[in-house]
This record gives sequence, C-alpha cells and structure tokens, in this order.
Amino acid sequence: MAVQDGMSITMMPPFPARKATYDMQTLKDPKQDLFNLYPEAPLCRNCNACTEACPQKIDVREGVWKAVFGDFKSVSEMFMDCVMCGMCTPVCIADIAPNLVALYVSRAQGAHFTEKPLGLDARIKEIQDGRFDDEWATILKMTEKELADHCATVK
Amino acid sequence: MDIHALQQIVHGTRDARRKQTLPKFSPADRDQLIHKYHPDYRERAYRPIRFGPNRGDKTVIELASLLEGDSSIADEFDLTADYTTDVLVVGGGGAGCAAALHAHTSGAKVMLATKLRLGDSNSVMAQGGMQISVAPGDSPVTHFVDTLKGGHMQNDHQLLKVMVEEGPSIAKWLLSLGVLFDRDGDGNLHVKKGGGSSKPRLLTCSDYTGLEIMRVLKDEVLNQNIQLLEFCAAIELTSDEKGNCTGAIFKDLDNHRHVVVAAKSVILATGGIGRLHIQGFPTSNHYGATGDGLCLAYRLGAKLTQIDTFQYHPSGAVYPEQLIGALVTEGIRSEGGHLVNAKGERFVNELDTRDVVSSSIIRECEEGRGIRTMSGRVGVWLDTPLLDAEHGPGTLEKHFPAMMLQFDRFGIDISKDPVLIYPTNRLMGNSLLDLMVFGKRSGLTAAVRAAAMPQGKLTVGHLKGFRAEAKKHGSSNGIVSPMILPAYTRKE
Ligand SMILES: Cc1cc2nc3c(=O)[nH]c(=O)nc-3n(C[C@H](O)[C@H](O)[C@H](O)COP(=O)(O)OP(=O)(O)OC[C@H]3O[C@@H](n4cnc5c(N)ncnc54)[C@H](O)[C@@H]3O)c2cc1C
Ligand code: SF4
Ligand code: SF4
Repeated sequence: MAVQDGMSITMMPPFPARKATYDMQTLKDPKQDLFNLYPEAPLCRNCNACTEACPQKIDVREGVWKAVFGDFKSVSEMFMDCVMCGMCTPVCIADIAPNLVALYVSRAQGAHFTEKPLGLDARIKEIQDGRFDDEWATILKMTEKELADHCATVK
Repeated sequence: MDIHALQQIVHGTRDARRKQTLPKFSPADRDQLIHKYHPDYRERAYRPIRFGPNRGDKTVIELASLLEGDSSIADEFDLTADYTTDVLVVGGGGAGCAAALHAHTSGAKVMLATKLRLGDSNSVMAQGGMQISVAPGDSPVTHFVDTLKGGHMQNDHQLLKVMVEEGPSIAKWLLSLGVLFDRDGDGNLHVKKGGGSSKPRLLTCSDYTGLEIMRVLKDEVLNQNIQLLEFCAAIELTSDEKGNCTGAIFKDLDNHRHVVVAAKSVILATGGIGRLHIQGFPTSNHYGATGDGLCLAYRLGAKLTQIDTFQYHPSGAVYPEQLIGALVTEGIRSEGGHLVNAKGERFVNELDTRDVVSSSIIRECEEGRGIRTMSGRVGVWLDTPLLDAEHGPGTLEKHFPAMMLQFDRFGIDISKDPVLIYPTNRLMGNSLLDLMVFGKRSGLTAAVRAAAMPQGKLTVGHLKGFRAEAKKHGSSNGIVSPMILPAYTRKE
C-alpha cells in the first residue's frame, strides 16, 4: 500500500529473535554446525507462513528446507533479495528465524564453499611486491599539467 | 497527457536509436555544459559561512545554516558518563561497521551508537557496486587516473592512492566474512564497467551490493558482541580543556533521555546530507542522512573540506510519486540503457561521467525537452526495455531484481515500459570502497590511540567559544543542529 494522507509511520525495532553467534572464519564444518547454532531449523512444519509473510517474495519455507539439507548454494541465491525485515520470524510456529538461518548459510557459502578468486590474490601480491611502484613514482612526480595530459590519454 | 501515451515515443524510436553511437563531449563543451547546468555552479544556492573554522567558505545555504546552528546542550549540562569505552563509533552504516570491527580486532573496547537501527543507512542502498581494480587488464594506477578524471583533478593524491591500493585487500576481507560477490565462470571476481571509468572495475552482488555487504557486516558486529546503542542520535561532542574530543552526548529517540558516553577515541561515521534536500533536489538517501556529524565536528573546531561540491546522481526516479528520488542504478546505463528526451532523441553519451550526464538531463528539462508528469515533475526517459531487446528477454529480471521488484509494487513493469528520471543528490563517488578503506583505517588508528592514552575530562567548554562567535556575527539564526531527522509534515 502506498503512503496516504494522515497515515503515521513508525520505524519497527528489529524483532527480538535469538541470533546465534559464531566466528565465521574459524568454523570447521559449517553444514554440521548449522544444527548446533540453530537446532530448531530442522523442526520446520511446512506451514508456509514465512513465505506468505515475505515482502520480497522469497520462498522462505523452501529456503529453510534447503538449508537443512545442506544446499547452501541455493539458499544463498534465494536470499540475496532478503532485506532482513524479520517479518518471517514472528509467524513461525517452530520458533525458527528463517532470515537468520539464511544469513548464516549464505555467509558460510561465501566464506567456505566458494572458490577463492586467484586473480584477487595475484593483485594483492603485485601491490605488496611493488609492481606498480615505478608507475606511481612517474605519476606522482608529474606537474598538474602533465598529469592532466596523461589522464586525457587514458580512455 | 497520460504517462503511457507519452511512453510511445520511446518504443517508436528504439530501433533507430540502437544503430546510433553518440560521441563523448570534448573537454571544452563539457566544461561549458557543467558550468551552465550543474547544480554545483548555481550561485544563488550558495553562501559563505559566517563564522567558525570554515569562516568565509562557501557552501549550500541549507548546510551553512546548520553548521552555524546552536547546540541543544546547555553549558551546565550534567556530564556524568553513562558508559565508558575505548573507541566510540557514531553511525551504523558501512563506514561505522568497518571501523568498529577493525578497532575491535585490534583489541580495543568498542561501542557503536547509531541514530536508527544498526544498518539503517545509505550503505544498504548501494546497488551499482564497488570499484576495485582486480581484473588482469586493470591496475590501481588506472583506477587512480580514472578517479582523478571523474573528480576533475581535484582529488587529494595521497588519500586516493591509499584508497585504490587498499581496495583489493578490502575485497579479500569481505570475501573471508562471506560476502557473495558475483563471479565469472573461472571463479574470479566479475567486474562491470561503470560510468566514467576506462576499465570494468565494479564488483557487484547483483543489484544488492550494499545490502549484501551490510547484512554481513551487521551480523559480524553482533557476532563480535560489540556494544550497541540503537535509536540514539549524537547531538553534541564533549571535549577536554585542550579541545580534544573525549566522548559524545546522545539523545535516545525512544524516551528522549540523554545518554553520555566517555571515550578515548571517537569516530564520526554519520554519512551524508541528502535529506537536507539542497537546492530542493529530491534524494535517494535514507531518512537519517542529515549531516549530523558535520555539525558536531564543526562546533568542536574541525575545518571541513570540500563542502562546495556534492554529487548529483543522474538517475533518480520521478514517477511513480512514491518512488521520487529513489535511485535507478547506473548499471542500467552501463548495460546500454539509453537516455531519451520528449522528442525521442538521445542527448548524451550515457556512459559519460555523472556530472556530465546530470548536467545534460537538467539542460534537456530546462530547455523544454523534458517529460512532465501529472503532478508537475519533469524528467527524461531511461529506456529500460532496450536491455531485454539488446541482451535477450529476462536480462532485467536477472541482473536487476531489486529494481524490477521496486517498480512492480506500483504495477510498473520496467522490462516493458521505460522509466522517468531526473538527477537526485548524494555525496561522493567510489564511495563503497572509500568507506571501507577509511573506515578500517580510522578503526585501527583509534584503537592504537586509545591504548596509549588516558580518558580525558568531559566538558562542553568548546560551546562557550562557539556561542560567543555566533553572537558576535549577528547571533544565532535560531536553528538548533544537528537536525537528526528531517520534518516532512505539511506546513499549514
Ligand atoms: C541509493 C544509493 C545508491 C548508492 N549506490 C552506490 C554504489 O553503487 N556504489 C558506491 O560506491 N556508492 C553508492 N552509494 C553511496 C554510498 O552508499 C554511500 O556514500 C556510503 O554508503 C556512505 O556510507 P557511510 O557509512 O559513510 O554512511 P551511511 O551508510 O549513510 O551511514 C551513516 C550512519 O550514521 C547514522 N547517523 C547519522 N546521524 C547520526 C547521529 N547524529 N547519531 C548517530 N548516528 C547517526 C545513520 O543512521 C547511519 O546509520 C549510494 C548511495 C545511495 C543513497
Ligand atoms: S527477513 Fe528476509 S526472508 Fe524474512 S520476510 Fe523479510 S525479506 Fe523475507
Ligand atoms: S513459518 Fe516456520 S514452520 Fe512454517 S514453513 Fe516457515 S519455517 Fe517452516
């Protein structure tokens, strides 16, 4: 519904759901850890209330199941639209906070199950090894005019 | 005329336009265009600041009034600290979270206080992506040069070098926390080409880049148990007898009580000023973007830099009414979307720099080639259906899901109909990178500083001097700053 005359609008505080705390980088077995961090996740009763509540049209229920079955990749793709409004949480009859489960799963997918981009590591090493130092020296020595001319040659 | 009838010209001219290539402006034409139409050059929108560290410098009237504004804190205010910490971070956007996390990792005791909820910020809304030179054909030096060009050679060279060189390690840090940047088939980071840059360099998470980064950073702030104060707006800083900052005074927006925090180091990360609506421009900024940190720092004696330039994003929505000012991502233009005036013509190379594109949209509208909506707003068309025509059906759906959904709520299918846009304002470019790099650096520096010094005394002594100066210059203007939240109630 759009904003209308006379309507008052309140900023909702976040719904007080229990958020598990974890150190993403040191997790040993993130797929198994899901069950320690969010033991209620496998108790989903398929009522679909979360999906109906979601303003971003995410199939939240499906996401919870996929998380439990270890399909972290699909969950991370499905929940890219999640704005963390928390609307899926108070409606859940199994006390699951689906958005928090999905956030954990998506982060684990990124930190543990996605290929490391080799090009990025190569670039970081180039910078550390001073590969661009000569170029920097040249550029930083230029007068304003020289620099402007140099910039104009880069298209 | 009805908006749908007006759209027909865009559909009608699409095929002809697809064959066209528009050259970029020559440097001379470009300067002329910007001087004539860019909002930064509108004399009457500016005035000199009357007193304080930037006395005599020109800035937009809206900001000048707030900088000269008075504090709501009286001289005899009770400054007993409610909390004590090593590092106090004010602001819960990207810069604030990055600073807090890095200070925490260096072993400092950190508190993060923010005006609304953690993450309610401009950072969550960034869609277009984050510039980092990771591609093999690209380099930090090229990134430096592109940025200088975009900034008309005005950027600080040292700061800029730091920013472009630290970019790749920031990307690595974010990846290690689980941020899901888009990838190429070979696992490398996918890069897109942004307006005004010579190489593809934008890292993206579809069109949810800021949201994805912020989801992760927020989660990490909570995981690290960093102490949080939400719905608390900083309204004044405290200082010791030497004028060093020693903490801050907050107003709890729920119960209107004051909260005093003593800190050895204070980091202001309160973001931009879009909600001041300078020069009457609509804004894409979040509700709390009222430049509060600028006012606080100014009263404590900080000289502000670059307060005469603001960024006007070329494409803010003009229709429907509910989306006014909402950003239409640059990505649409990067992928070939045309800008089209009321006559069905293109009028600028869509990938020119933002100031050029914004200026030429303003030119079209001022010279009568804009499209007027029923509520009297003016804009130009952005031909979104062209993307599906060019790259195959489903392109918009796949690459711009956030934008599809945003317009779909109002019954508009952007893959079928073009959208109407006009420049809107916000601050800074390269910003997502900027805030990560400098957020990190301030967090680290603050932690080191805090470890090496005692907690200073809490006073508001600096207000005495500021108020005396205000009085000398024709007294205060009756405005109390910071603004905290903009008022939109109808003025009867
Ligand atoms: C719609 C949109 C799209 C954008 N797209 C891109 C993009 O594609 N790429 C890019 O690089 N940049 C983009 N930007 C710019 C970029 O997002 C911002 O420059 C950047 O996020 C600013 O980060 P920040 O942390 O400094 O400020 P913010 O993210 O705005 O955070 C400021 C925080 O401070 C809090 N705060 C304010 N006042 C007070 C107070 N008095 N007391 C306590 N807390 C306070 C606010 O509530 C907020 O949490 C975009 C900006 C917008 C608005
Ligand atoms: S938190 Fe995410 S998944 Fe849950 S309702 Fe909101 S948008 Fe949907
Ligand atoms: S609301 Fe809870 S129980 Fe119902 S489908 Fe969603 S996760 Fe399962």
